[in-house]
Amino acid sequence: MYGLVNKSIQELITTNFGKERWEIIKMKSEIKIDYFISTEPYDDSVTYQLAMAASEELNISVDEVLFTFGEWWILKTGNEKYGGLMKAGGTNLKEFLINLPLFHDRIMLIYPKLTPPEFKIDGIEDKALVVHYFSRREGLVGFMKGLLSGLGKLFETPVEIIHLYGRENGHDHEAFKVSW
Amino acid sequence: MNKNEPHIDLKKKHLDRTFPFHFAISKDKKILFLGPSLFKMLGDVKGKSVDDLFFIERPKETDFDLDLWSKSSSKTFLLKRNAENATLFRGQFEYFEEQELLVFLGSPWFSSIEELVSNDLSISDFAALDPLVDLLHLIKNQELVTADLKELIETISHQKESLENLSYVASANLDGIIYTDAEGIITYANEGYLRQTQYDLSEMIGKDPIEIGRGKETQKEELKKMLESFFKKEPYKVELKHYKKDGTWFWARVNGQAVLDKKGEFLHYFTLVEDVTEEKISKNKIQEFEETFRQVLEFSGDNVWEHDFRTNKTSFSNKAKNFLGLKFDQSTNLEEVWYSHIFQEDYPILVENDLKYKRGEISSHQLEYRMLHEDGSIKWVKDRGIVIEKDPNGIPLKIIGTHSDITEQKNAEKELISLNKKLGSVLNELKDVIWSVSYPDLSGIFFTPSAEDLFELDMDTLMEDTSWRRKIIHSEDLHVLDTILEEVQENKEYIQEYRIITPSKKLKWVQEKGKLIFEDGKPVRINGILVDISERKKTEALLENQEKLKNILIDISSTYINIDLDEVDTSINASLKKIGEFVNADRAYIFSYDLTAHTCSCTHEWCGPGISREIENTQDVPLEYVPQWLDAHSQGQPFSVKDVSKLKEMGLDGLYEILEPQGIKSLIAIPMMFKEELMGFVGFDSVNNQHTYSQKEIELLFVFAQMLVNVQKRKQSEMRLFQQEEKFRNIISNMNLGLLEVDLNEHVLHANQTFCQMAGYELEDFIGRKATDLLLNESDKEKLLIKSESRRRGISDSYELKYKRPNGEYRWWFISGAPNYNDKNELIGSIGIHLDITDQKRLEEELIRQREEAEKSKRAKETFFANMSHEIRTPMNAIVGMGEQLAKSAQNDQQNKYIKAIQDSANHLMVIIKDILDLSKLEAGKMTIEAIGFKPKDVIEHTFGMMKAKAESKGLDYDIINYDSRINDILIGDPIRISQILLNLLSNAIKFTEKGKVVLQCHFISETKNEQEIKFTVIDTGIGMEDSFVKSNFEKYVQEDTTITRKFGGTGLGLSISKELVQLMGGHMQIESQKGLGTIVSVNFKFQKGQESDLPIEDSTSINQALLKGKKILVVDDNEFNRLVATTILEQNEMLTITAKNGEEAIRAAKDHSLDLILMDVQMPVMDGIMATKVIREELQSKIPIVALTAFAMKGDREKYLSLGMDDFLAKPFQEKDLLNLISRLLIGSQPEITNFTDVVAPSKSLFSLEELENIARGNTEFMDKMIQLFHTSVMVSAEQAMKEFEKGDFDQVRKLVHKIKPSIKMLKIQEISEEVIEIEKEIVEQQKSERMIYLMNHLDQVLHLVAKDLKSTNK
Repeated sequence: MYGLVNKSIQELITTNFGKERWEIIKMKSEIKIDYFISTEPYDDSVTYQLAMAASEELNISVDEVLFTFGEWWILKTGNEKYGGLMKAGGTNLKEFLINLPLFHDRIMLIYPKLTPPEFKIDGIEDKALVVHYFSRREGLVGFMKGLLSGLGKLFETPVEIIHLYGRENGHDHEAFKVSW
Repeated sequence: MNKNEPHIDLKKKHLDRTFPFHFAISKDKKILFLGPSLFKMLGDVKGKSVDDLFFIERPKETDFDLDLWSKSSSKTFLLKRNAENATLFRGQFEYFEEQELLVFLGSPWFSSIEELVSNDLSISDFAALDPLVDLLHLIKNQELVTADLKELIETISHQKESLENLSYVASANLDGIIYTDAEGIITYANEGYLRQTQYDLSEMIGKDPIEIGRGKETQKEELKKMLESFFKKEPYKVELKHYKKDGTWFWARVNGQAVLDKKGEFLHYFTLVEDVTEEKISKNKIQEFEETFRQVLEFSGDNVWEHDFRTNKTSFSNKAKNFLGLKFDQSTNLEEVWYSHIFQEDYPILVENDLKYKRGEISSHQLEYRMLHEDGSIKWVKDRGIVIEKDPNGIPLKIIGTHSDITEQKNAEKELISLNKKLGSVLNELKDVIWSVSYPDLSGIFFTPSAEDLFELDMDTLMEDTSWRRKIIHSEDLHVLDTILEEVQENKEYIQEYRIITPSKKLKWVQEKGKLIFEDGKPVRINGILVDISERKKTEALLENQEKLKNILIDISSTYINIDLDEVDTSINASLKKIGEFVNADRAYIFSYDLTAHTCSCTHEWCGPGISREIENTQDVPLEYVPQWLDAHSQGQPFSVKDVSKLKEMGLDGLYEILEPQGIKSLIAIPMMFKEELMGFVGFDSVNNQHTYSQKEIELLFVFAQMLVNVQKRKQSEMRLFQQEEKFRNIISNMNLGLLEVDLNEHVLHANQTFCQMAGYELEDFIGRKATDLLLNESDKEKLLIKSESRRRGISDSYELKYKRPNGEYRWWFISGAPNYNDKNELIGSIGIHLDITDQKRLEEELIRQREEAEKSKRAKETFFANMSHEIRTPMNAIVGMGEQLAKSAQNDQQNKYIKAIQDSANHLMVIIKDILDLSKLEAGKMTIEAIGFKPKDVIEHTFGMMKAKAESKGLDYDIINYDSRINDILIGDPIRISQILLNLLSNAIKFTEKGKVVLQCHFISETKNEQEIKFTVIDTGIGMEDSFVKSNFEKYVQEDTTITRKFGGTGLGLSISKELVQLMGGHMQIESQKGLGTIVSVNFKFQKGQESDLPIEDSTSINQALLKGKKILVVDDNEFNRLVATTILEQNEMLTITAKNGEEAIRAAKDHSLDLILMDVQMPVMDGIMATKVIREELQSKIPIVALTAFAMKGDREKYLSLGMDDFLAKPFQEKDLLNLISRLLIGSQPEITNFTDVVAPSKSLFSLEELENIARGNTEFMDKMIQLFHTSVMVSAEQAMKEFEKGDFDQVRKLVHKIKPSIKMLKIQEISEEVIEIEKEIVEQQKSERMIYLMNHLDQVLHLVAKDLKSTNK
């Protein structure tokens, strides 16, 4: 993952729990990186290790860490750093979600070293749709849920997210039903 | 246009998708059409001139003129909007010849994504091929990266700064700092080290510090220590000689420490080298100075000490000679030892001194304090000290001083002070006189001032000459003067005690001590002391007197303790003498009062020598002679006369006349009181001298008087005891009580005459023989032995014994036995008093027999009533039933009249039976009163209405008046019994009233929060009752006179039953009646207030003719009439009937026919209904409804029959509607055939609902089937099991099973039992087989079976 993801985690933790806790978490994660550069790709394991260490240190589940991080990513990192881009992605939740596959396709082009996840949207209803999430990475369901929840908050549209199925029950990808 | 050129039709929609910002202009520069995204930005600009909208930014100086049309092709154009925000558009123009239009293919060019957003555009407004958004993204990214880098650079430069600062610190340090690697090779050295060593850095790097600094005199030990620590990566500190480049050296203090990174890995070794040469030199100097100083000090004190505040260590120079007896060695903490030996009170002195030093307040000290020597003695120490080293703030670092032993000096000082003090007090403060006189002329040299007080003479007189001594000494004691002189000569000293009489005539006792003083071998003076010992002498006299008193008291007390009563008089006389002598009396005497005769007499007298006896003259002295005597004594006060000669003056002439002739000068008389009783007095006369009694003497006399009282009382009580014994002995012998005394082995010691007569033996037969052997049979002997055993434990008791006299006659004895003790309180056997109770026994037996008889007859009565009930009810069933049927088929009025007469008679008879049954229940205490909710108004109106016809037929004025509206709508009570009482009162009133009125009143009396008191009154103008009858309390079976029965009918029980019922309900009944005028009966009740929910749920089942039609009913009854009644009713209601005469026939019928219901009589010959039901249920496995018919109509029957497997119960005789009602109720839903009637029967509310289950299933029929199947297998099995456990009585098991069923009932919404099942679960363990539980369990079973059946049909 690019450094900006890990940077975002760092921000999330320092903002909410203080720098000391971030240092403890970083120490527990046993990663030996002092400074994340946003556009530099880092191994995915760095992100997992950080999430697990945070879970251990803050005494919350890994899923919860990832969920919180997902929301943070959208509401803080996305909104503050890429505000324009986010807004360009659509004027409302539905539009944004529908544009999501295109958005990531572009990201793939922009960041050649990144393996962005692939999205597919179907089951579009008036107030619901299904987001299919294809990723090489496993275990990021909580992150995904947090992202979707964060998007709901960004567009001031309360959402309900149901994890329809995923790898843990034999599918090749994760599917989430987002209703609002 | 080249026809070979590939050609495609480009439609507007294609342009819209690929170039959503395109627009087309015509030759006249008007916008023809535009793309949707441009439309979004510009709005509808169709037809507008392109010049108004855009101008061409690049290429410069290009217009939308015709040139453009021809010059189109691949050139890039930048258009700018003619608007405030002047958005740039980048693209190219394509000319379409055929259409003569110019199309701009491009898109807006934003410099940032924010600008894009501010134009209300989003990704979807751009063509998929348009990379603008991505470009903007990249720009954004670049910004972020730049921000990251900035941050990183800031962080790095900050760190760099910190590092630089650190390095400045290191190099600026005056001390030497070196870094070495793990091998000890120098990697860095600061300026300081270079200066210290005179080397260049280049010479230094790559070498190790030992190579650099070691020289000839470098301490090898320190080096070794340093190296060891270095390789262990431990910190070290050494001081050694460090050589310089020029071969000289300096003292170096070397501190080394390994520096580790965060993970604990070795980075380098940090070493600090301090040049401490100067320090070393000055230290040495100080040491030398101190040594000298100490030597000087040692001359000035016993011990020289030194204290270092930095190390807090104290050292002593002269340990061996320490004066505290301590032994020190190297390890002794001297300060601790010293402090622990400081005398506790002086400790604060040292602490304070120490603090002063530490605060820098003093720089020297001199203290004196006490220390404890090892041998326990106290040593005074002079402690002097001075600061010899201070820190820059003036705070001492080291002090030195001396300890000197000044104990002797101190002691001498102390002694001197104490001596001064003593002298001062001797002179001025002492009461005693210290004196000194010359010897041998004895003229005064010196007297302390106290001499003036003692002798009441001034100092001049005392000093003048010695003549005053002879004057002042008591004449009787003058001889001491000679004695003193003799003793002085012989012993050189003396002690004498003598009396003086002062000028003011005070008698004083003094003690004089004197000692002859020699100077130069010659006696020159006598020194001495005079002490006033008057108080001591007084105390001694007093003590002596008290001692004497005590002895007398002890003497007298011991005389009277355990005194043999025969010796009392002698002893009293002796005591009188003793006491008399003690108080210096001449006569002592005792008088006893006879207050009834109003006299007193002397009983004892003692006279001193030469005193005449008066005892003979002082018998029966009238008390009026000595009234004052009696007055004082009655109040418990002594009577005393101090001086008889003065009595006349005091106006006591009478007393004077009595005392004076006896030569009495003074007297005292002490009362002898026992509690409040005045018994007499003890008196003392003084004949020779007048005598005033002291308080002590009076106290003694009182004690003596009390002893005399006690002795007299003892005498009296012994007399009484003797008399009592006598009395009891007489009682026993006169009362026909047999007395038997036996020893511990049951041998007879004594038997009185009565006992001998009772036992039928002579006394000689008993004595010495074992009473048990002689008197008792074997079983009684055992009983007796147990008794004697308990006697040994001091237990007394009574028992009865059947005794066989020698002549064979049996007698009953009542025996009271008690342990028998001798004078010494030793158990010596037992004593028994025997009373012949044969007659009482017989009487008792007779009484028991009679009581049994009475109970037997009472039981017989109960049985009779029960049987009568049955016997009468059975034919009555036929009469009532047939009467009803006959009434339906009556042909004419005449017949109707006859039938009515029959029915009336039958009803009357039923009332009588009911009365009798009620009465028997009341008598047996089996009448129970319900407490259920009822509407009082309904009950009263209904009851009133029942008697209305009767009243009206007699032409009476019949009315309810005053129904008080305050009466609660619902009360809690027994409406049936209230109705019964009111009915009785009303029917009596109507019965006994020929004309006038019968009125019922209901008054509200009072209420509390929960209760109301109501009064019902029935007033009639009938024949009334005699007062005596009213007061007779309405005995049962009694009417006022026998003609009444004949005239008015009735059992005469009604009123008395009503009265008892009223009492049973906690109310009371009042009757006022006047013969010939009428009667007022009122009944008061207190009822709890009730609510709607307290009302019983009414049984709403109605007779369903359609349901009944064609049902096949088996009527089982041994009584033909009863069978007929039942079959007639059933057949009239179009049911089919089969009859059976007993249980056996019933079983056969049940086997042979398909029946719907069985009416089963309970009591039948051959096989009763209960057994038959058991067989039908268990052997035939039939669940056919069975109704018990019984004439034994008692409360609780229903439960009994239900528990026996029947479904319900009906008491005979029954009403047609009751029977039909019951059958209807039981047949609803209980028979499969019911489905045949579904079209006829009004559809009843469904018992259950599958709604919830369907909601869950959501069309999953498989699930539904499974759930329903589960109901049959699980729920029904549990329900059946529950019923079985209920029968067995395992109620906890029932509760568990019912609990298991509960959720299914809820899910299937079986409303009818949903509440009940909760009630069962909650109550079953406590209520067990209560009426309610039996009902609930049966109902549960029934309903569940119905549901199961319905579910089966639904499920098909």
